[in-house]
Amino acid sequence: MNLFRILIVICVLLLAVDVANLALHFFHHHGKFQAEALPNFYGFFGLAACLLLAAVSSGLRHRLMRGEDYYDDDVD
Amino acid sequence: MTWTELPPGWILIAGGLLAAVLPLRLRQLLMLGLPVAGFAQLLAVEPGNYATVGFFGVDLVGSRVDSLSLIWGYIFYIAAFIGAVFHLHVKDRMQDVAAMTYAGSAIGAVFAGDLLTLFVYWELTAVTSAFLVFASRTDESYRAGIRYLLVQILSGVLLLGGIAMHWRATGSVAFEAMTLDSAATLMMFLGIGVKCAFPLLHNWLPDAYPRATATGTVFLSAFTTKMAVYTLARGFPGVEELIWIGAIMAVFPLFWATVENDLRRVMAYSLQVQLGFMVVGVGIGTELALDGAAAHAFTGVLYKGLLFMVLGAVIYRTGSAKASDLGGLAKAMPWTAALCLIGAASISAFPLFAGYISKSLILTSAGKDGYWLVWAMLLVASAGVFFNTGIRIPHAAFFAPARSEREPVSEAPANMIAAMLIAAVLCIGIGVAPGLLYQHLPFGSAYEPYTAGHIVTQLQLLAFSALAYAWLQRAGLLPELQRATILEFDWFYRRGLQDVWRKVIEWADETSRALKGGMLGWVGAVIDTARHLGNPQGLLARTVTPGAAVLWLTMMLGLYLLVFYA
Repeated sequence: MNLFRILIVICVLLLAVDVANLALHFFHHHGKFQAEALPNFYGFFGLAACLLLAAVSSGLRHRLMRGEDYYDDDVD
Repeated sequence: MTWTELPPGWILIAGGLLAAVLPLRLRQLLMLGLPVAGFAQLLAVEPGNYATVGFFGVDLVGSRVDSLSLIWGYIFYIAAFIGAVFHLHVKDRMQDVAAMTYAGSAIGAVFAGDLLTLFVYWELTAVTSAFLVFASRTDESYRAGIRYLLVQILSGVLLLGGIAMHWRATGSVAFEAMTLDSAATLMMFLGIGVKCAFPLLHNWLPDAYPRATATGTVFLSAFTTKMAVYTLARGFPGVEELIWIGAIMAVFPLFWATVENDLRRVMAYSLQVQLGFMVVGVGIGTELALDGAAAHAFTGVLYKGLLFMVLGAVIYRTGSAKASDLGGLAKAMPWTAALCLIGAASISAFPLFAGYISKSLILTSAGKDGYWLVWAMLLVASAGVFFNTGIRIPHAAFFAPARSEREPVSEAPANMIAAMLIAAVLCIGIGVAPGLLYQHLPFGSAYEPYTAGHIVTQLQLLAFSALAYAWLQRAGLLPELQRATILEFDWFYRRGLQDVWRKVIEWADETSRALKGGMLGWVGAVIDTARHLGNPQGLLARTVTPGAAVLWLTMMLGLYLLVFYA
């Protein structure tokens, strides 16, 4: 079993824990905001944040990338 | 006065100056021994003000020992010791002197009891640390060092200007909590902001740190910025602007870190992200939040130091820290790879590692006080740092397939491994037993990081961020790494201003040429007219008869009489 599959299993388990917790209340979230009550809020938030991060930064890279020696003539 | 009452920091500064003339073995002994002696001094000294001097009517306090300065003092001595162990194989007098005096000045700044004393140490850190950049002895590092020094000195000038105005207005240089209610405090705030790498004032950091020596960056990463965070915590706690400055600092460097090829620059950006957390903590200003800033500074020195050491070891063995040159090092450097994973887990705030128990304090404070947007931004930063530092650095350097041909390398030298081990043990120790750190926090906040809910949510955040990375990696959507320059705000002063200046010169040139052309035309016209009128046949040079002359004179006289007497 490769690492990617293991990771997917872990994610599913963590999601399941939260869904089960909705019914069973075996631990308490000390959430300060309403959104935190959603099952796996942190997981989905992290996933979305990382995908957004990757998308925005590749756009950024596209626009802002120059050659490695771009600044080399800034001596004079 | 007993030895424990000497201002902390002097011991390292004096040792550093001595190192300038000592042979290698004695220098190494000093570098290892003096941080231990300094730490012992901190353990022995009672809280209070020492070395107080009246100086031209200004009360100077050489050393103020209290719970806020002590925690920074402890971690700075620990960092100096770890750095010295890591640096042990280096035979370079300049770096020995620079590293010791730099660490000493940063410690001095943390214990400075008044603003003028603070300023002196502030400038000392600037000058001494620049030599750690110069010490790479390349053209590139020389230029980066000069840029670094310019910015650092600017920070000092702002601070001094602010202090002078503050002293004129209040007659005191006492270093106590201030607000942004005058130009004087605003100037100090900006001066500190430069060293704290506030957004837009930060470019010196990703510019200089990746260009210092393999061991120099380890020292650099520990002191300057954390000293600035201390100064904020002492001088501007609860200043609300800091909350937003910190939140922006925690997010925007993520984008550059994600696409950067030079792994030391990736680390420089994620260092700035961590500073953002601390600045938010200082801005919120509650006891819990300030304790969070102090705790995060403490753990940050350890795990960022650890990751910079890992990259230092990689540079020492392969000559490069660029992702495009690395990969596949795990087999050749298994110890370094394992220690890298510990550093990565700590910076990503895995439960049981140092980052988790300090970052939680700040996130909880932000949540408690209802700053939902700031809280969300810090959460993005938590996910993002795992994504682009926690996973990417170990992956790019050690576990991904090698990206270029290279000579077989061996494991890092023993002293490097030992230094990394000390940092790693502390990272895990503090993560497992957070009480060890919490009891030394300035306000002694009672906090329990290990609740079931908190552990589960943090694991969710990390697991799904890892899922995003793994999926993008498999789909080939991660930015392809290659040697490149990604433009940043420093473009404006490294390139933009030059372009503007060049244009200004061009325009000035053209304008002056046009003006000159115009002037010459006028002068020429005057000369031509004079020549025309005055030549032998000209109007003014003709000879006239006496009769005609009399007639002209009479007519002029008549005109005169008519004008004035009529």
